[in-house]
Amino acid sequence: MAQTGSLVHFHGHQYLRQRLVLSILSGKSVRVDKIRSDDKNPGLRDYEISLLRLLEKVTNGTVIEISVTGTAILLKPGIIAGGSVSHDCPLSRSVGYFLEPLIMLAPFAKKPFQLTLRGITTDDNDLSADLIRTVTLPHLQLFGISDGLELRIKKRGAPPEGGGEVQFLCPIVKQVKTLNFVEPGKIKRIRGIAHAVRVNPQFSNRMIDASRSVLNRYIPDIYLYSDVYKGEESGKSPGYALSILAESTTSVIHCSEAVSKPGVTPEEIALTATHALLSEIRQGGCVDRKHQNLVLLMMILGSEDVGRCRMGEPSVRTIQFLRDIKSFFGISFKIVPAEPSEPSSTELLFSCYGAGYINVNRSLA
Amino acid sequence: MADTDQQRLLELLHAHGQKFLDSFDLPSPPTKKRKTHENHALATSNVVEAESDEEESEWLGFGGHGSKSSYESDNETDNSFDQGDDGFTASSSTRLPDVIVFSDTQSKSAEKKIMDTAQKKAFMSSKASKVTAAQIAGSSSVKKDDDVDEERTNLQNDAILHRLLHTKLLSGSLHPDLNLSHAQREKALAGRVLELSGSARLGKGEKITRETERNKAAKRVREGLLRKKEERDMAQIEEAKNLGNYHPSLKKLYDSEKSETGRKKRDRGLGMGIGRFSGGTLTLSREEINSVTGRASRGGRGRGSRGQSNRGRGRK
Repeated sequence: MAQTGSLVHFHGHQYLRQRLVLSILSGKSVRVDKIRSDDKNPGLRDYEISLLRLLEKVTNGTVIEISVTGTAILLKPGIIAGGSVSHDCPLSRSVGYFLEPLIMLAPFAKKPFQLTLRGITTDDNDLSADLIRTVTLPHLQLFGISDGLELRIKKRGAPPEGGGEVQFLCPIVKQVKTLNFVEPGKIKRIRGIAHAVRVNPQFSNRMIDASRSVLNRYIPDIYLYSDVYKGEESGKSPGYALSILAESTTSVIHCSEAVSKPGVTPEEIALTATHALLSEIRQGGCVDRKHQNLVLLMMILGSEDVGRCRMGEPSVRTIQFLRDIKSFFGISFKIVPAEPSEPSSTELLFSCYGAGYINVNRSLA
Repeated sequence: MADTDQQRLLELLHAHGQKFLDSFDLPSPPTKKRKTHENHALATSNVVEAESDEEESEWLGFGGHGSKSSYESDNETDNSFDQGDDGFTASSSTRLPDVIVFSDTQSKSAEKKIMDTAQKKAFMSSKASKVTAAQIAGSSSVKKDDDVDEERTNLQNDAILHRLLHTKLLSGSLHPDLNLSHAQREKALAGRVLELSGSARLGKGEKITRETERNKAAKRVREGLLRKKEERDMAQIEEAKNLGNYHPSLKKLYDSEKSETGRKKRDRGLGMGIGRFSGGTLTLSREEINSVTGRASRGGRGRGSRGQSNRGRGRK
């Protein structure tokens, strides 16, 4: 798969995940150097090493070279093998950190994915397992990846000790569908999940009440569920969190979440999450800000046709992602204001011509 | 005076009863009361009014205001009795604000609860398709009748399309979603062609192509293939036995090869030209009789039955 002579070069430790994913999908080798070279503790962190190990497990023929100081890596991608893989994630990042890149790779594997990840299921850096299940996976459905797409939260694990376990199942596809998603619609329902492990179970009810106190004035269709995990299933550390999502008439999903912090009441956590949801909805567009990357990636991998998607302002990560796409696939997006007549609107219309990416790893029929 | 006193009491009782009935909003026009009122209107009106105050305090429990107004209107109409009847019916209608409607919330909430739990289950399900499908189902229940009708016609159209697609002559095996390998697809196609041309029964075409292909192989290979097949069948039976869902009567299901050839029944007894001799009798089958008499089996039977029916009619 690795094409000799095609090497993409980057500096710095940021955006490592998306670069590795793009490298594996495009088949171009990637070299990243100056990884925290000015830091007191230079080189790759344990979670980054762990991610590299995981990528090595799910692929076949990948060559990863890390320099002695750990400040430079070279990755020559192999094929995405898939199959059943299990991985123990370090406690420095949640399983969301590892799942996000794998969700991008999984549909293009040789065999359907059956990935078991153990560690922290919810933290404040990455998407929690709940949001991945209720928001990220439905985003994949837009591209025709739906049958057998599953995320089972077997055990929850709160930081710092973790002890959670999730199982991710993903079917394989030959090619993803072209997206045409320009109608944001109106918000019609709000759903949420509050969970509390190894603390008073009333905490989730307190969060739900506090969140409802804000949301009730907007729409009537609000259901916030409290998810109960007991005993072994609740992990090793105490913690609680609230994740909320709002769905529109055209099935646009916006989401937000907040995780317990020491010395903060559940009510405040719930209000943080609720206000974050409202500002997320205020951003507009058809795709949540945390999922812009995923949608854009699937758009360029679509069939050779013009895909369109309306989004809010791109996040910093998204902007860099667009640049990286250009260096790996040579595809750039056409970005125009969605409503040129309204100067106050910040929504943008992203359109691109798909690469016609076909899953060559798939065992041939 | 005793007579009038009694009448007054009776009147009070009537008033009381009327008020009681009125509190239930029954359309019962008072008849007798009117007449008594007419006779003794002037004489008793003050007294009744005086009594009414007491009763008000008693009946406050039933919705004080309404009853009071009705009673007052009753008293008011005492003086001008031409409008009396209307007054009464009107009084029952003025009661309306007191009516407390107890709607049938019980069943509704139960239904809603079931829907809620179903929604929750779907939302908390690990399958991504369920998370979104449940939300679609929830919204569809609110749809108007027109939409439902449209959906029905759409469904019908879908069914027609499905039938069209799946009754195509050759599409079955060529469908890309089957994920057949190239060789498999080719054999399936050849078999389908055989079936369509009528040289194989439906569903047996592929097998025949496979068998002819097998016959091209060397003897050793052919025998190996057959032996392997037998082994597979045995293993399948063994597994079924272990699972406990085997019964000798199901043997046919498991012997894929033998059931098809259909072993011929051996003629027992002495063979003597025609028929068979067993247990001291010569047994002739119907075909054998027909072969001698030269009648087609069907025609003979048909005639026979007709004759019988005629006879039956004749007896009648």
